[in-house]
Amino acid sequence: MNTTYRVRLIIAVAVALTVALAGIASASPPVPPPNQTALIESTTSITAIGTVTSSQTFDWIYSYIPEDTNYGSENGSEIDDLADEERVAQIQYDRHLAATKGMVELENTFTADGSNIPNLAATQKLGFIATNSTISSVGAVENGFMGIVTEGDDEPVGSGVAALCVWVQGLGIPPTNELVAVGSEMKGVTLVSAETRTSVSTTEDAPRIHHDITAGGVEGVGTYLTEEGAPVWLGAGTVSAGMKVSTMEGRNVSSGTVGGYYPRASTLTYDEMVTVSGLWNVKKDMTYTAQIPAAVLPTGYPLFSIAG
Amino acid sequence: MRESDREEMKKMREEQMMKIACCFAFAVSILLILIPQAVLAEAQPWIISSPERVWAITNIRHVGALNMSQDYSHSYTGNNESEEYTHSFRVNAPGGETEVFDVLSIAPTTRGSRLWSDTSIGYDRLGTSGQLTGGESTTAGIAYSGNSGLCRPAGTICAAMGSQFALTDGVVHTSMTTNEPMSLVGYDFASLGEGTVSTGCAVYTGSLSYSQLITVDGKFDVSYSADFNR
Repeated sequence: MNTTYRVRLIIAVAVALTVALAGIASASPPVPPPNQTALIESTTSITAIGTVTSSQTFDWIYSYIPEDTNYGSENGSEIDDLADEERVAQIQYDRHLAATKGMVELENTFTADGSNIPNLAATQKLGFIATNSTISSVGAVENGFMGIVTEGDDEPVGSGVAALCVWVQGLGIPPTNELVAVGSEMKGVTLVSAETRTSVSTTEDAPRIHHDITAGGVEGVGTYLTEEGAPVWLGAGTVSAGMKVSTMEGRNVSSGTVGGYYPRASTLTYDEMVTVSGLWNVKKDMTYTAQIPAAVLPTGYPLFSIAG
Repeated sequence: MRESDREEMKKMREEQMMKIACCFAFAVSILLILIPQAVLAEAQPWIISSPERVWAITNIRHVGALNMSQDYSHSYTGNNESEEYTHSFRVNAPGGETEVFDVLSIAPTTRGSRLWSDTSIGYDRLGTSGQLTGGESTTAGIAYSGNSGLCRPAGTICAAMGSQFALTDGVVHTSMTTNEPMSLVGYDFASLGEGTVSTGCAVYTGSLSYSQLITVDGKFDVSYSADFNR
């Protein structure tokens, strides 16, 4: 019997937005990959009545130094002092899930590709229905991070067709740093059908990180609202999603002055967090894209970073 | 027929009966000795080891208590490169019916060797309170110096894949392959049944690290695959 219930939604929303901006917007160029990179692919499919735990972590640090740059043992590695015109990138990702004493359906994929963008792509589909056990619930955490630090470049080499544009030739890249974290969390959830997607691109085109979560109830189970005549099934528990951005950019190209003075032109921070508790149907998308025309005009391709 | 003939025939029949009885008793006694041995004997793996190939097969179908483990290792050093592989599995069941099939192949056994391992384990407790416990794992490691001709810097790659299980009923199947020289590592895991299973992998190259661990307890249908390419 279909009945529309009056639903009490308890929503706690916390948004902190801080922008300290003096001058041009901050952004980092892409960081070309080394000659030898890795391709990691994994897929998981689980159907279970019981308890499921899953944990996944990834960490990759690499750097790019132009061929005409001289460097020594003190700054030739990706994790030591910056060499002249060096760019360093780090991609981090972790995903953890604990589904206790319930009906669980889980499918996730993970791809890390050092040679092609997106350099990291992860998807997860989760279905959970609690049983009569008093401790039956699911918790899940997913985090992505993109970090880029550059010393500056007075003759940057872009990639692709966009780099041939005459209006971006010869423009230098000032020193930059760009630190962006995204993620989502589910806590004490007893009923959910959820999908998350995360992608990170650093090796070419405009550096970009994306995370989105869509979470609601299971069709035919529990409570639903009617929206435009169609039922919208609600999940139960607590779900959160957020993003943190911190970037800095130099005033001019300071090539050849490693260890010297680097005047700063811009500092930008952005902080966003949304938390929903009770019964809900949630969708949140977060994308950060860096843009430095001198490095590469952002083509916007691929428009959709993850398939499926 | 005379009485003496009848007596002689009776005596011959009794002697034949005695012989048959003795043979039967002997046969039964032999069976009583052999059958328990067959039930408890561990089938030995069939191993071929040559300069060019290592090939080992274990195939067991067993009713009753079973406790077995196998460990293999292979290493090669030369041509500015070191390779090391290990593969192991273990199974312990207090009763019920157990089926184990394990294959390991390494060829060639010199630089750039390819490893392939495949393990299938099935268990039916046959109404007992038994539980099959065990695990399998395969590791591959390679360290090489730089090669300017290949534009390849010096490096290290280590990969470990494996699983652990405690089954009251069900099957576990895993396979792992590595290609030369550690350009590809693939791992597949599948399990259907009831109990607890864990599987995962870890890869480390110096500047890159990746790990994944999955545990499922209850009734389940699990499939997992991971590929590492360099």
